[in-house]
Amino acid sequence: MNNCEDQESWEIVHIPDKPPFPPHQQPTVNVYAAVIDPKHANTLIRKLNQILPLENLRHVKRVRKQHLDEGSTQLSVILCLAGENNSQVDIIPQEVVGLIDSHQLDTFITKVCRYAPLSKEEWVEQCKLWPTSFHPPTYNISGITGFSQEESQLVCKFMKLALDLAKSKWQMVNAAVIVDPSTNEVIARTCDQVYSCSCPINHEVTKNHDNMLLNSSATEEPKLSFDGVSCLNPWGWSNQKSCDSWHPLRHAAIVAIEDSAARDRNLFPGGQHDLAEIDHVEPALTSPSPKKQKTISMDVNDLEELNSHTNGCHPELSRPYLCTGYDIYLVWEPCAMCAMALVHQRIKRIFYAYPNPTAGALGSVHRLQGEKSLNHHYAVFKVLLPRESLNRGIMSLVSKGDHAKKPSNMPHGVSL
Amino acid sequence: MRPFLLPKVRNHLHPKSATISTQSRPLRLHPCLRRPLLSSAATTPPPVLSTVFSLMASCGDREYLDVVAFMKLALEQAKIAFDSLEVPVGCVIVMDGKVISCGRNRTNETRNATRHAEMEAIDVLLDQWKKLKLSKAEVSEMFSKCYLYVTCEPCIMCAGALSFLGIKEVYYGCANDKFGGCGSILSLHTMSCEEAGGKSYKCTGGIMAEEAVSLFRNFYELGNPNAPKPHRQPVQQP
Ligand SMILES: [Zn+2]
Ligand SMILES: [Zn+2]
Repeated sequence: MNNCEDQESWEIVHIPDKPPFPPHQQPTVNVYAAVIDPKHANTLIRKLNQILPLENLRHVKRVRKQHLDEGSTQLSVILCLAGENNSQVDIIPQEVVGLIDSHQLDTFITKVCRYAPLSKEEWVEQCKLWPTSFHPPTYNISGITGFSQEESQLVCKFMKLALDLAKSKWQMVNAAVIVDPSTNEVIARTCDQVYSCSCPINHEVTKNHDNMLLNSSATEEPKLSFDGVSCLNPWGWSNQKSCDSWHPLRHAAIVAIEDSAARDRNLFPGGQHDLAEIDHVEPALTSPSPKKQKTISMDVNDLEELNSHTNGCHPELSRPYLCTGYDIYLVWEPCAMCAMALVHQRIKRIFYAYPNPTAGALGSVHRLQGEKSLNHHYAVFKVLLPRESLNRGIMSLVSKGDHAKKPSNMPHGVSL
Repeated sequence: MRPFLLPKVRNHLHPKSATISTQSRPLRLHPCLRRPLLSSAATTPPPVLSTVFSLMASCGDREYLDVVAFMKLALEQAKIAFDSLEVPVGCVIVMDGKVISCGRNRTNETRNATRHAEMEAIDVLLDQWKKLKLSKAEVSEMFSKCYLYVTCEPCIMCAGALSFLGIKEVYYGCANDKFGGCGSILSLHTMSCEEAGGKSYKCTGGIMAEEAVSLFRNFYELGNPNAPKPHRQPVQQP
């Protein structure tokens, strides 16, 4: 069995917030803009930023300065988003209409790039449409890239742990390991409990596949099944054999979150979280109520954001809030349910080994890390496994150079 | 606040609920629903009622009355969450015209931010059905007859879960324009992978949205009196 000594053959790849586009083919959105009188620029821009900040287009500059032929300059400002259909005049908010009227602005529709540029090339192309700002990735701050030797070794170690949990002789499931990277403590380690309460058990299958060892150099072609991977096949739970304790939604990540919450309750008993403590809360609909603490963890549920009250000013935490600061290692890219659960629980970084072309929500089908409206964002990494690694058995399936031999249940597009 | 989406709701009613409503049998309550109805709804008529009555007057449609009646029960659950210092979201699950499960947010209490009302109600059902020794195929069949009434649009996590379970139909109150998985951010109710056995479910929003929103508003305003006034309509109707 290989260890991580050969970790130079492991590769950690950042999965960005947006799908990769050629620099000159980046997606755009339409906006209403208007040429403005430089004398009114300050007032107008201040008002616009108040009325309608460009929340999902923070990289886009509100004002464009153009040099005209005669040596003069012209200022244009973005008023608001426009529909994709140019006739949708009615979507201009009332306050903006007020500004247009009072300053007698001539509006026009123009295109701006939808996503922040990730490279200088992209940025240069973007600015041809409308100026944007470019912030080169800050290495290591959120672990975007540039893992040190030591960090890579740890990533490799924890992913190996997840892989060990996920594989059995004949079948793979998804597995999750939650780690506190500040101490390298394992907070939770779980695998799917969709078909059974413990790690992969499928006695029906065993009978026929006794000799299908994952790591065997079997002459017989191994038929490793991926049907049991929760996140890959989330709709298929009712067709699979299982033991008595099954649960269609107990995907590995969900179970791991549950375990970490249980750990939190054990380690820090005594009720509510003490962040965002607010005294004198007397909910009107509450009957003169028990002596329970009058604290509301304003941050605990994401729906808080419905009222857009957060100003990003959270008091210092006295104990880990949910999974803030924690990493999770998943064997398979999570489905939308799991990926969103990890947003809710405030995971900091996600590492996964295999993409999930049927239901993956971190780049394959959806890309939650790029959904700007969410109130929390994690960084996502794919860990490319070395050829001679733990899962030699799986590798053998695809390394025969004959794609026709790929088992039918091997999800299309899975590259190992 | 925009008006309710009456025509949309009526068009989306499933024939099955129409049959049920014509019998106009009283709603049979799941045990977990009894307490709040007796205590809070009976003594202090919630603001909900006035709207219900105005809807009844304008609509007069029994099908829609049922939808509203179930949403009222979901709102009762949301109020229990509110009283427990949880973000006020509640839901009920209905099969054959009967409430068979209910749930409300328990994220604070459990310190598990995934314990949304929908997840709670689903787990109640799974427990019940497993005690009855139903097979997975039978459980799957049961979910395909279930209607969920939830006070706020299911988030991406819950919308995905409902798709995996193969629920029949969802009615929600206010839209969830930050996390909504039934149209606001993602459309997981229609975007399941059919090759992998995914089915779509019908989803109708705007049912008693004002009541749902006012619960949120009370919750946050009471919780955070110094919070700045939102500069735009916090919740958009679907
Ligand atoms: Zn999953
Ligand atoms: Zn949810």
